[in-house]
Amino acid sequence: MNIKINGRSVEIKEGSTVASALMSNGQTAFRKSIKGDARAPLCGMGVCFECRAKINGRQHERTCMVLCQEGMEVEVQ
Amino acid sequence: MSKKIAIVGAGPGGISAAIAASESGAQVVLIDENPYVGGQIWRQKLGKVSDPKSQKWISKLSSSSVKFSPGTTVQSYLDNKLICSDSSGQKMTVEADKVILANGARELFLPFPGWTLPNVVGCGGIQALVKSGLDVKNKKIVIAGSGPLMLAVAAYMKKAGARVAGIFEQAPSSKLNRFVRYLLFNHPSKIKQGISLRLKTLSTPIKNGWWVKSAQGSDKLSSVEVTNGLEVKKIDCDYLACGFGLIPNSELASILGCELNNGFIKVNDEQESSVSGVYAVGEITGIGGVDKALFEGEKAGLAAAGNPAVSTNSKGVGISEFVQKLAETFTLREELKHLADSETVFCRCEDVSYGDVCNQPDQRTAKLYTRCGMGACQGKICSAMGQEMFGWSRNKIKSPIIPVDIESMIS
Repeated sequence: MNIKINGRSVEIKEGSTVASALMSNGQTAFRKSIKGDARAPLCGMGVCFECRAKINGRQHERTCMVLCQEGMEVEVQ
Repeated sequence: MSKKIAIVGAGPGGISAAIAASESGAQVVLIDENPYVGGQIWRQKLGKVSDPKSQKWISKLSSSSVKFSPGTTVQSYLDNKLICSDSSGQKMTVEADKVILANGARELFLPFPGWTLPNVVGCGGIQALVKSGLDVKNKKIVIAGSGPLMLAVAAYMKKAGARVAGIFEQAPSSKLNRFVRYLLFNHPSKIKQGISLRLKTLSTPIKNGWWVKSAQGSDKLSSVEVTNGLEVKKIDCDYLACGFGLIPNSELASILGCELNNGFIKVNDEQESSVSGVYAVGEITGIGGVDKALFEGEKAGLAAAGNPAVSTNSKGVGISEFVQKLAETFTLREELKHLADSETVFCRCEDVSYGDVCNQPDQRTAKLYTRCGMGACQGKICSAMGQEMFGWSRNKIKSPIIPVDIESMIS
């Protein structure tokens, strides 16, 4: 299965969440904090909102709660 | 007419409640935010059930008449209806005569220098991520914090091909030895489980009375420092998995008006809360693990369906003592409340530093003056830290309990 991370197509394991797929593909930073620091998943279970990103045009999705789908477009800051 | 029962949370407690209620003739909807049943402890690996005990329960659930509603987030409760949003963000409502809460627990985090670096994750957090596809093969992981979860996670990480450099448990050996003695005499099966996990992690040192001091790295984690208060060790690693125990997800119970005790939902012998028709099971009534959740779920499912709980079985014996011993053993040491320096981020959503909040008299003032707790997580991470570190009392929870699109609120 393939998804796009900031336009770059990557192969991922079927059944992965977007958060895990991003991390496995070397994406360390998911978003920039208010002061500009890199942030990435902390809780892994939908509580902390640190993994949020744009998925298929929808802002602020918790990537750890969303399963990857073929052709999905993910944008991280 | 059969009763409509809505169950929130599809971990062991919710599954057990759902089966008991549907077998008693109720119409049951089981709601969960996640794409699959299992909750945290029985989280499926890439959508597949592997653990034999969970397999048994999950297949029993699939052959029952329970309607499972995955990807469904509860926002609030109004006129006997749970207001939810589905995975595409669309609003949906679930009508129910009775509600069973099985929201489970999340990890307690505490701030230390470097804790906001990418690759510093929760202990249950890293397990959830690996089960959801994170590849940790040949990665070096340090596990630090508190609680029996750490050993289970270490074993799981090794199985996933990671190198676990060490487990650092903040509780002292004296307390842990007492706990082991108690388990030996009262819950020998838990000792067996512990030994089996330890045998899988023999190459990993376990240090009791040690805790994380700081994490280093520029764009991501590169090393951690751990200490026992006397000496400090620096360990290079790819991930730090760090959680300081579990805290109940009691937000929904709060907006339903359930009485809480130290964050946990107060229930009677039938698992009914102070609000008539609202039941609570599993970690939200006291941290005690799978067996407690299964037992309480069955009781609540029967009671909510109008089937007087047949509590003649002996499964419940010793549960409350176990909950208490667990809490006593893993009480957090004072040093953990003073790991942050004035520059350390306290509220991650709003980038509020420890220095900005540590002298605020209470949470409300901290919120008004610093925006602490006003970001996307709605204080779910930092309020719990403030309660632990400064003795903050709980703020009143307001709905929606999770950020929602304005369109879904007005529709």
